[in-house]
Order: sequence, then C-alpha cells, then structure tokens
Amino acid sequence: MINTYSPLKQATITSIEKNRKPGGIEINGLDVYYGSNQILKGIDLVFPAGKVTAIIGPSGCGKTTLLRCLNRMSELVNGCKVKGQIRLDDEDILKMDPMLLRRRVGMVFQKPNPFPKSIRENILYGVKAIKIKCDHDMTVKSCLEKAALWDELKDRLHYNAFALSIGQQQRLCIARSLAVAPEVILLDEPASSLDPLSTMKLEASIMDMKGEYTQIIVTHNMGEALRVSDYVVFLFDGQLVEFGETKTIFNNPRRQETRDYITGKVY
Amino acid sequence: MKASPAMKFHRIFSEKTAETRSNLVKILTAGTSFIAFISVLVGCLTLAFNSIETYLIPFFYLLTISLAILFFSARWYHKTQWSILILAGVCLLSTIFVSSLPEYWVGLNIHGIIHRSFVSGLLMVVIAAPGLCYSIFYFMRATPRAFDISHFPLLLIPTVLALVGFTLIVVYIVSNGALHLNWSLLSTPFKSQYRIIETWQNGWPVFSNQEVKQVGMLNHVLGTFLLMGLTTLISLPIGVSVGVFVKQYAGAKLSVIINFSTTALRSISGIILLVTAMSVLKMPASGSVFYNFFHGYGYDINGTLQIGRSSFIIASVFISLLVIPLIARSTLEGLNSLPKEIYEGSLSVGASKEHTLLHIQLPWSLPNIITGLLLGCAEASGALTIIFLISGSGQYGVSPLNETTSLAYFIFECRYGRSFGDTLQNIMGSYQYTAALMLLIITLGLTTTALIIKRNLSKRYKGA
Repeated sequence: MINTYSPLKQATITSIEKNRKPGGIEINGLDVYYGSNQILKGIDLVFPAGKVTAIIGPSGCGKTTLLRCLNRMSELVNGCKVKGQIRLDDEDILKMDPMLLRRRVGMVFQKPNPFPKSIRENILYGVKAIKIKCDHDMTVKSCLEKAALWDELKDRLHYNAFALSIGQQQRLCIARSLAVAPEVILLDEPASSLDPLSTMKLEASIMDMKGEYTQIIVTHNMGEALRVSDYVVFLFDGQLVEFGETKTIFNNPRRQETRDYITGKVY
Repeated sequence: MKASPAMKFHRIFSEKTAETRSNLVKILTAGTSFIAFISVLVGCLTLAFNSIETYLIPFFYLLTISLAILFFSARWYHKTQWSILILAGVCLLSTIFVSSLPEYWVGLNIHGIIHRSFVSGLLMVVIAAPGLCYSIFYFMRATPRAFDISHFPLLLIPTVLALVGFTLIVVYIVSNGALHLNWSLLSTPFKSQYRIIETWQNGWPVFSNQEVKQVGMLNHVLGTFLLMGLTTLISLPIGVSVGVFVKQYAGAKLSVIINFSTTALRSISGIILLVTAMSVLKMPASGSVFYNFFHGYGYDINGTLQIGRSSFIIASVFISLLVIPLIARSTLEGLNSLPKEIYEGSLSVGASKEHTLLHIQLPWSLPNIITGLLLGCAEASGALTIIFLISGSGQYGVSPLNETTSLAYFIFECRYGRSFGDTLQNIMGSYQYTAALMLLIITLGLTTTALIIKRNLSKRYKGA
C-alpha cells in the first residue's frame, strides 16, 4: 500500500493538476448485495468524461449505493458485496488501492460534513493526508475560487468550519474534495439540506466545473437534474431503466416508468 | 359595534376577578410560606433539642390545611398540581402517625431505641421544606405561567441537599486543616529516626543517640503525584488502544467480549484485585535483584506476617487495572460520538484509516479521554488498600522503583496506625485534616484543570 504512494510523494499537486483530465467511468454487470439482499441488479452504464450525469429514481432504488460503489465507500458497510466490473479510464477500480482511488474520485455527501478544524485546514486536509507537496496558500485560494467561496471567506480562513452557514459548509466540502485534484466528483444529494439561494450557488459552481471534472449527482429534485445535468440515469428497484441525454429523457422518454416518475404521476 | 352594558359588565367583572384571584393567591401563598417556614424552624429545633415535639402537632395540622389551600388556589389557574395534594396527604398521615406513637419504642435492633421527637422533627422538616419551596415559588410568580413548571421544588430539594453535603465536607476539612497548612510543612519530609551524634567533650569524642523528628509531608505529596503519573503512563496508552481497537478493528463478537470484560473489571472491587495480587506477589529471597521491586508478603525469622513492600510501579500496575476500563470506555464513547459523515468525509479525500484516526477521531474524543483520565487519577490518589498492602510506608523516599507512600496512606496512619513509639500517628496526628485538605486541593485542582482543558478542546474540535 505504501508503494502506491511513492510516485505521489515526488509529485507536486501542480504536476498532477497539469496531467489531470476528467475520467470516464464504465460499469459492466454490476451486482451489489447487502447480506442476502440484492440492491443493484446487473447495471451496465457509462458516465461520460467531463459531463454532469444525474442519477434519479425513487427512494431505496439504489442510487446512493451505486454512487458509493464508484469510490468504494460501499466497502465500509458490513456485509456489502460488490460483483462486476467498474472501470475508471480502463483501470479496474475494484483492484485499485482504495486510498488512491478516493484521491481520484472525490465525494460530497448529503449532509455537509466539514472537519472540526479551520477552513484552511479543511481544504489542506486531503493534501496533507496523502502527503503531496503543494503551495498551501495557492491551493486554498484556487479551491475556494472554484467553489465560489473565496470572496466570502478570504478574510476568515482561520475560523472554525462549523461556524459557517450550512450552504457555505456544503460548498466548502466541494472545495475540500477539489484540493486533491480528483478526476471524478460524486455528489450525493448535495442540495437536500440547503435553502434555495444556497442551492442556486451550489448549482452554479457545479456548472462552472463542467468540462474540468466528471460529475455524477444523485438528486430527488427533477428541476435540479434538468438544470444541471447533461445525461440522466433513471434507476428503479435496483435496475437501470433508462439512460440518455437530459433533453431526450425529459422531453420524450422511451419508457413509460420514466415518464411517470418525471411527471410525478406514480411513486 | 356598541358594547351592550351586559358585555361591559362581564368584561370588567372578569378582569376584576383575575386581579383579585392573583392577589388572593399571593396572600394565600405568603401565609403558606410563613407556616412552612415556622414548621421547618420548629422541626429543626426539635431535631436539635429532642424535646419539644408536642408543639409540633399543631404545626402538622396547620401545614396540612395550608397545603390543601395552596392546591386549590393552584386549581384556580386550571393547573392541577397533584404533587401539592400528595404532600398535604403525606402531612396528614404523618400527623396521625406521630400522634399515635409512644414516646420511645424499640427500633430495628435491640439497642435501637428511637425517640418520638426525632422522628417527628425529621418528618416535619422533610414535609415542610418542599412546601416552603412551593409556596415561595408561587408567591414570587403568582401568574398562570408559574404553574407550568411543575414539580420544580421537589427536584430542587435533592439538588440543594447534595450541594449542602459537598459544602459541609469542604468547610469541615478546610476549617480543621487550613491552620496547619504552610510551605515548610509541604517542603520537608516526615522523619522519625535515631541518629548517632559525635560530640567532643574534654578532648574526647562522645557518641550519643539523637532522636530526629521532622514534621512534614513532602514525600507523601510527591508520592501522590508520582502515583498518579505512573498510573497515567501505564493506563493511558493501553486504555486508548483498547478503545480504538474495539471501535475500529474488532469484530462484533470480540467487541462484545471486550466490552463485557472492561465493564466487569470496572465493577470488581479493588480488594478482590488485591487478594489476587497478594497471592501472586511473594517475598523474594533476600539476595534477589528484585528484592525491592517484587516484594510481596512473606514471613520473617520470627514467623510473623510481613506486609508487601513492592515497588511503586507494581502498585500503579494494580491501580491501572481499575483505571484502564474507565479510559477505554470513555475513549470508545468519544469515538462513537463522532458523526459517521465526518469519518467518511476524511476517507473520501484519500486519507488512510490511520491518518483519520490520528487527525480526526482521536482529537475529537480527546475531551472524553481527559475525563476518563481524571477519574482514574482521582482513583489513584485515593487508593488506600493497594498502597497499604502492596507498596508501603515510604521509608526510602520517593522513587518509582522502591516502596513509596501517598497522602491516602498518611491519613490512614494518622487515624488508625500504630500508636506506641514515635510513629506518624503520635508526631503528625493533628495534621490529618491538613493531609485531607491537601488531597482535596489536588483532586479539585485536577478537576478544574480538566474542565478548562475540556471546554477549550470542545470549542476547538467540535466547534461549539
């Protein structure tokens, strides 16, 4: 495990950032079990590089499970079994070192979860944890700028992150995940605990990051999916129902279930 | 719309009655509080002098009536306070009970002759004190809102009693011990031994035995700190490791087993551990390297039992057996209180589990660990049986490798030690409260420091 870090130790964050390009994810025949309970059934999917893909579907259909498989956070749950193949730029992630994978595939959670440290320390946490050399001040500035927080927070970088508003905390979490130069960002219902204004700012920063990062967002909000995403995945009961461009899915979906879910008829 | 005379009258009347009611409640509650106050006073006097219980009976009746009135006045505000009615009922029953008692009766055992005035005085105080609280409370705020805080006085009484108990202990110890407390007492060790003195008389050396007596408790104070330090050194790394292991790495079955055994070890009394310790530690041969280190019990040439005089490290190992579960449990509580999202967030930026443990989880649970450690230190400073039986009287000074003593042992010796000869009891017997005060200062100082550290850390790590 230590050997996998050694190329990183020589590298600086700028060289990683220079060589970095958004990664595409390809899923083949993914089955996920919690104990004897099958959550995901034979998923075949492609998340295109540099695009925003929204995963929609009713509660309990396996959206979050699918998302957590992509950076192997699902392993943290006892009794979770993953079968199948997930590829990140032609590398099988199930055979990768999880720490290295999570550096490349960042994640933003449903509830804002800043660390109990200062804002600056929050952003530098990942860089320090994986021991990459970098210019700390520059990293803090560029990450906060990408998450549209720099103007609000530049005078109080030493404040405790818990003192921020919930919306700012969530954007700080995005900035934190950007600090380690990921290729993919997973967003698990990031706006579910935010007010409309914060949601708008969050969506704006997602739109800004389009092209630079591959983004996969789980959402219950159809409007958000429509505004933000390029592609939409509709899951139902652990099965992939429909996948396509956002306009196609929202204007004329091929399947009746998708139409019903989007228009809010059933479920 | 023009108000009809009937409506106007109704409004004025209802306003008037509300005012009248509130005034009436004030008068009633003032009366009740006066009666309750006098009752408490008379009850206390009865307890003090054991003789005036006949005057108590009318007060019991008065108190019953006034409590009943208080109950009905509370009902005017549509708030039924059953606790007042229960209090009044208890008061009535006690009246009947007290007046039907013989003046003396044989109590729980053959010697237990119980005086009626004692019982009636106690009952009076116990009933009248909550009644006093109730009535004063309602008098201060004779508004409907006051009745919302129900049962407040009943909860206040135990709190006040606990506070009074603590204050009494502190005042007693301070008033008895503070007189002797000075710097020279703390900076000189206790000594009682004979020394051969060489003097010159008429050109010839004369040898004489001189008794050296030194009043002081330096060794005892230093020994207490040393004991706490050693216990911390041994139990903190082990306790924290156990907590982390249970949280992070142990499976479900193993963690149940560890949880059970730490709880069980915690609840085992020190004396049981000590019995085990005494049977394991035996007196080594006199030429042994470990003579002072593992010096357990044994028999001397005359065949009398010698108490163990092991090194201080051995004593602190046995105290640590009691402290480790405490620290492990508090560490586990601290680790469990970290939200799962923060732990996952740390992993999601590529940090390893070890990095997360060192930089997120342990700093978060530091306040809990400090609380556990503080309790452990208090345990160590008060551990008497272990000091008494494993390590000894501190005749070699303060050192972790030899037997050393502590303040707890000092207090014990002052009270129950050997009384013949120049023993600690005879020389320093009057200093026992000073030693107790010193122990109190050490423990309270530790508590205060830990509370301050804990508050600052909580602010820093939990963003409170």
